[in-house]
Amino acid sequence: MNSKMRYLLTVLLIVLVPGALLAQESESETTTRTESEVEIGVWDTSVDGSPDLVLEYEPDGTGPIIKADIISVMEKGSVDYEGEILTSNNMTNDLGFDFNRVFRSSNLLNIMLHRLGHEPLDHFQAVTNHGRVTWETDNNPDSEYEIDYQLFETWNEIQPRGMSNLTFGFGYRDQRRDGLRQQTAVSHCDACHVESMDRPMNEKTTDIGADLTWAGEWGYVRAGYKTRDYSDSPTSIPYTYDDALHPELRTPLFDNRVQYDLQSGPQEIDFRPDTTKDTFGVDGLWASRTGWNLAAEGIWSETKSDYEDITSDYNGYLLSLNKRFGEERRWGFRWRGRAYDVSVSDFFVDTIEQVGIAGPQAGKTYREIYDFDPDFNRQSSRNRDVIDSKADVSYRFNRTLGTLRFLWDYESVDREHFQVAPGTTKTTSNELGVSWSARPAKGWKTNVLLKFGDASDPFNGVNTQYSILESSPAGSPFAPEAAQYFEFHDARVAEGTASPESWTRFQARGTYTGNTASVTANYRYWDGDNTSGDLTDWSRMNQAASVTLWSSPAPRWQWYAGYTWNDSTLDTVATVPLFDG
Amino acid sequence: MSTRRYLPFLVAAVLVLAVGAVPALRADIPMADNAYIGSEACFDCHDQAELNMDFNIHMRIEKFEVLGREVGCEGCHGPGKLHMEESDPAMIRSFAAEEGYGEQVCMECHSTKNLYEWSASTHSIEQVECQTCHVMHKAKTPDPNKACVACHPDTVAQMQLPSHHPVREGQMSCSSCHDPHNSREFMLKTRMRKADLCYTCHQAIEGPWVFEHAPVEEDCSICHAPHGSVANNLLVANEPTLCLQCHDFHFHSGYRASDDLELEIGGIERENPWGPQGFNIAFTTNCTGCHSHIHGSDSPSQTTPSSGRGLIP
Repeated sequence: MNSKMRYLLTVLLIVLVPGALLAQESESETTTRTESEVEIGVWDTSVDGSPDLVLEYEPDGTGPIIKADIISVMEKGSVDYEGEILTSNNMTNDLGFDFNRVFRSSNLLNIMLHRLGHEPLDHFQAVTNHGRVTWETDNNPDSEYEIDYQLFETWNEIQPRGMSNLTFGFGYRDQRRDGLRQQTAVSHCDACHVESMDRPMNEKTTDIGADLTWAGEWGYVRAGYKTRDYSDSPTSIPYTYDDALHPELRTPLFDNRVQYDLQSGPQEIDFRPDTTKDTFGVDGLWASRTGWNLAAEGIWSETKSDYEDITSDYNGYLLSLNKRFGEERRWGFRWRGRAYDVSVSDFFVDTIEQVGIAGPQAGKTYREIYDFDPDFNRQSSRNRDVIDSKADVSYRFNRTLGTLRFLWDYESVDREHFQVAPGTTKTTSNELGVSWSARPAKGWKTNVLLKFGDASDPFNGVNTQYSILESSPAGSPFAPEAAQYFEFHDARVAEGTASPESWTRFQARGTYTGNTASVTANYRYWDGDNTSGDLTDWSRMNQAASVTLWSSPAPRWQWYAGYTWNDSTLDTVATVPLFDG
Repeated sequence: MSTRRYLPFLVAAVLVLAVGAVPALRADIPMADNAYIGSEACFDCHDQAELNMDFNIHMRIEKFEVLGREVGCEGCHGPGKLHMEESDPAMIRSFAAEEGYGEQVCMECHSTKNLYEWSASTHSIEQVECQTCHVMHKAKTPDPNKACVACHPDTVAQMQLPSHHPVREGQMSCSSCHDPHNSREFMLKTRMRKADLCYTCHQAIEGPWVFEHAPVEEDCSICHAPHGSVANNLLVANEPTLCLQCHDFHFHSGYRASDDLELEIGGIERENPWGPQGFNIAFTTNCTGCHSHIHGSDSPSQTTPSSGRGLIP
């Protein structure tokens, strides 16, 4: 169904559904009631420059806007529609209905334009040193990269009158991205030649799910299953790499260090393999007579790539307890513990090894010339065992003094293969906090939160940074005696990270609400650093302050104004050769 | 697996046993000598409420949906017989009267009806009452985004930054990713890892891939700020700064190019607008210009020495 047809159908839906309901009303005036609000207006937008930067999700131009909110209640059910339509590719629609309250349905159809922008790549132009270059070619310089996004979602429930403890739910979700986006590919050796090309998209993600819930005064038990299919068409695009030539001489007289080039013919690049994700879950809650709530769940999920036959498995278990107790239930206790593991199958990467076709290295592979084995067994960095725990204890003094809460969050991530420090795969973090929320006077609400966190061996890249403190200067790779590419990788001996080993979070908020207006002031601060890296330090600070005013001088007249100040500082080390690390 | 991993469970078990020794109390709701009279009787006096509640879901639900409990006005306010007979406001439940009273009444039905985790949610612990976000006597609850802005103005302000999810355009709302009633991490609507929530709309990124990028497998928020950012694509910092936190520059970036304004490259005369800074700009401006499959790929990079791991198709 094309977008114009969808647009037409939606407009018809808006017009016909209330019409049908009103028609029914005339037949049985006592049982059908309808309330509707329809707004019709005009929108107009004009953009100078790049619309993808300022109008990423909205249409430009001029057109009518229709906004409707219609609810109709009948003897045997109800229909409730809310939507806004700007163009055939920009609309939101929510439709809910029920039949005798036994069957309840909520449905959503959202469509929008998403502008992706066109990267000109002109920073690659003409860099050269004795003829060695990086350059670019945009094969489609006039293309506008944008996609039509469409989401249809429905969730339905059946709760039989005779077995009202049971609720059967089922749903369907269909998400599509159709359009064109930019794809780049790079040919090596003679130059780094970056080419840009159109990449058609016809991405489709469908979810089909169902669950069954058995609920009672004691709590509930629920079991559910969902299967997701993802596909894109085309799955890949063809690309022919440049001929791999000697960077100096532009002849084939050198060791061949690429897996494929012009001689290999067109290659399939930008694979978007079809994937299937199946998730099964069981969860339940038991509310004891003594006030305890005990919740437990298990989730088992498998994601499978249809292209390379790789499977990712997730197994997770959660247990949570909470209770309010004491005089007037002033004390509160909450704990949640979760354990899960993720495992992805290993994959052996068998690198294509070309032989030199001329010169002194003719007939030899790169492995043979430099004694370098490019093949490896890929062991996934996703593989891990995780345990996390979150515990709170709170005490409510009274309405004026409010509630004091103490928090402790714990997480242990034990990766199977990926090292976050030499010989270490495990990160352990603890976060302690205190929060106070109160209503110190009539109309006033305040909240203050302070947290301190600490992590041992946070996520880190081992040997991802070069350091002149440890690595001896390497020669030019273009000179005959130069180090080879993999040797430059070997020269990266320092750690690099964007994760803190200690952090502080502070937030304060106050709101005053009068009869027809309210004012809120909010301040948020986060500061974290990591100084445990072997040769490099990292830190980041974010803070934001905001003031908002809201007023409703008349029942149907509201206005709102807000101002926010944001400040962010990132302190990281950009190492040689541009800067002295 | 070491015994330290079980430490939080052990501590929690001790706390559970300790706390469990304290008897539970439940606030009483006056019910004695009272009886249900039906909503129509309420509307005899409260005609404005009738107008407001005509299309309210609480006036439309039926008893079987809430396991036989009362519905309509008295579903929340309790039996109205004594209140009607004596016209005494004290004889009916009033939600403005006592802090936390409303939540208890709402949970009588909702603890087994969609809001299973409420009592364990941060909002509940922080004494955020149902009425803070919900308007009970209207046909519909206000726009979820407007309900959130009162307490989270800085987060809503982030949605105004140049790169953002389409929340302010109305295509998403806070509740697209968050369930304000659940007890999960950041109240996210996922029962698995944080990333699995992102995969709901961005399944293309999950893979699993042959060639991975470790931080993608770790946590999307290492590189992305989901509420909005100045940098494109919701990145927490612009390229190349974002990438340079963990990665070294290419060795090429230290080289100096020629001052010549015209260069012959591959037999073609080309401009050299960047002069001697050419290598610096080419290799330090936009990493994803070449490493376009930064979330993972099944296509190996071209060069043999990299073993295909460069995330360049």
